[in-house]
Amino acid sequence: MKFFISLILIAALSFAACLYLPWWIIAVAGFLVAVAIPQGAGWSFLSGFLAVFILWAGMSFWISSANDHLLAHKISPLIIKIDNPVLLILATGLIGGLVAGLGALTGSFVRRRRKVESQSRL
Amino acid sequence: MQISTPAFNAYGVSFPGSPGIIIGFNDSCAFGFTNGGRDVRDYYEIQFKDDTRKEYRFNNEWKQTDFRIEDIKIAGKPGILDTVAYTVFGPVMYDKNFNGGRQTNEKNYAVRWKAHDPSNELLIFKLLNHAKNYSDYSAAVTNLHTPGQNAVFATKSGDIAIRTQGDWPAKWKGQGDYVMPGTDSAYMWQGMIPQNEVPFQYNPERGFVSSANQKPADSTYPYYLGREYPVARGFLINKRLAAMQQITPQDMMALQTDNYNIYAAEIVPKLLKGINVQELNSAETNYFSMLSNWNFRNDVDSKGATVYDQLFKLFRSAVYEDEFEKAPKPIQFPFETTLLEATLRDSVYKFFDDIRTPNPESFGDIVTRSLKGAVLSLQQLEKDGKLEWGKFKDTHINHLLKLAPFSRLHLPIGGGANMINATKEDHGPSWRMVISLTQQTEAYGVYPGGQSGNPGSRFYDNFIDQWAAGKYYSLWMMTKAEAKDSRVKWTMNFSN
Repeated sequence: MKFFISLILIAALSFAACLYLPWWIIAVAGFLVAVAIPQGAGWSFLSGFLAVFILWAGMSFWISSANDHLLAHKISPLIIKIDNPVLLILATGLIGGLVAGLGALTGSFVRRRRKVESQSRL
Repeated sequence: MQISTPAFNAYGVSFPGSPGIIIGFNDSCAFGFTNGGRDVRDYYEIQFKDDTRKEYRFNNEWKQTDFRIEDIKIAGKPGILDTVAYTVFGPVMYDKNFNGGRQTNEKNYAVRWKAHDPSNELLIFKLLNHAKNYSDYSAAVTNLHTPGQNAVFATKSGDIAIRTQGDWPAKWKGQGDYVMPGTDSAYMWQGMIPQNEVPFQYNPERGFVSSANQKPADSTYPYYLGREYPVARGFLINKRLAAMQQITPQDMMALQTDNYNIYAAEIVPKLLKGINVQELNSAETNYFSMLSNWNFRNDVDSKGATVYDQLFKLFRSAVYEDEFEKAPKPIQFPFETTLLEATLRDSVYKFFDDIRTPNPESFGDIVTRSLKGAVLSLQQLEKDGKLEWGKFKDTHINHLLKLAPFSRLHLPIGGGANMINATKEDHGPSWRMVISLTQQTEAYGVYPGGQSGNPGSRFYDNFIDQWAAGKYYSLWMMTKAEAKDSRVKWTMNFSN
């Protein structure tokens, strides 16, 4: 349950923040949600990764299919050296997913460290 | 593009940033340009007194140099200060500061270029867009100083005109073909050709005017015209137009996209006659007969056109290359027209001999040898499936950054150099337009591109196939009443 709430929150926050802020704000979104909702390191990463992977891949698919992937057919040979819009869209999702996932991973470590510190103080 | 104001209504093509229609038509007339290509830039060798460049030799005295300091701005950095020396001729373009690709910087060359003189070329297009008759046209195009153009013109009332318009220096024969001495005022431009002696035609008896970068006047013209002008296209256009009657827009489209190779049609029969058939093996005979059966049209699927192209290239270099490599440089390679003239007239033309061999070669020896050489590359082309002219020429339209996915490669289009459809490998006639100045103007046009610069738009390159196929679009000159037409999808409003 925590996992899905994290996932949806990161995706929603990333979408909203990217309307006004640079793309890398997705790392901050992952971080903040992971700090707020405690999860294991693996689950945190996965929630951040999947959230933005689905968000970015979905959005780029939606934008790209609006004109039959015309631009993606021209850009993909330039960037990934093969004419394959789907692969380009997956690569877009992968980059976003990694950045947000690593942000969330950092958030979960910070949370755990604060917990460890407060316990040792008792 | 169309511009409509209460004062005029003009349609055609323009350059980005130009506030006017450059080639197009309005409600009363149509106008177009081809490059005049005359030499309006000459170089003079300057003798400076010393390295400071403060004085230079001119008419047996030392003359003061003017220095102008150009501040070339660079974003985020201090500018570069470039000190340019000015002489009576103009700025010294090549000196110790700028070698321009020369091996040494020892010599100093000043440039006299007509384009350095102030003028107002934009006025031409403002006036032409408003033009209603021949006198409006004359008043408009005479504002063209540089770069000189062949300006063609036609009105609804039936007037036609052409003017090789520009400010042309009146030169003696050969003046400025090479660098001239900068020490003597006698080598300077002595004057300009008066505007009433610029070549022009107004309603000529033959009933048409034509322009294809051709030589603007014949040998009776008293001024030196310089350079080689492309002959083939103009020659064929004039021949075709003279024979045509009751011309329709479709006839003009067929003319503009004609792949007939008049140069080849002149020279190939002579080449075929020269080839010694007994010396050919079966492969060579095969290509020989492809050439003999060729219809002189460089159409997309023509194999004979490729055979001719390969043979002619080798023939041309076999005739001249041996002498050329021994000639003192710089010297220009002989023109194609010179070769045609010599081949047709003279079978003992002295350049036919290959001076690298002890035996004298005849015309027949050289052509036969060229065919044998050409066959080697033709066999390879045939193996690669590139013997058809369109595939061999492989016309492409590059994106400015030469990115293949943003370009259009391997276009199926014929034509080439010396043909009316002068589409070469990567350049050629882009804007094709036919205007029929009938009661209700009929206008057609096409260009190899699209209305959007965005490679992600389907309007980026959607005209290219139409252009390559030699087809046109009908041009819609909107009237005020049509502003609410269902074809109008968007309106842009401006305010300030």
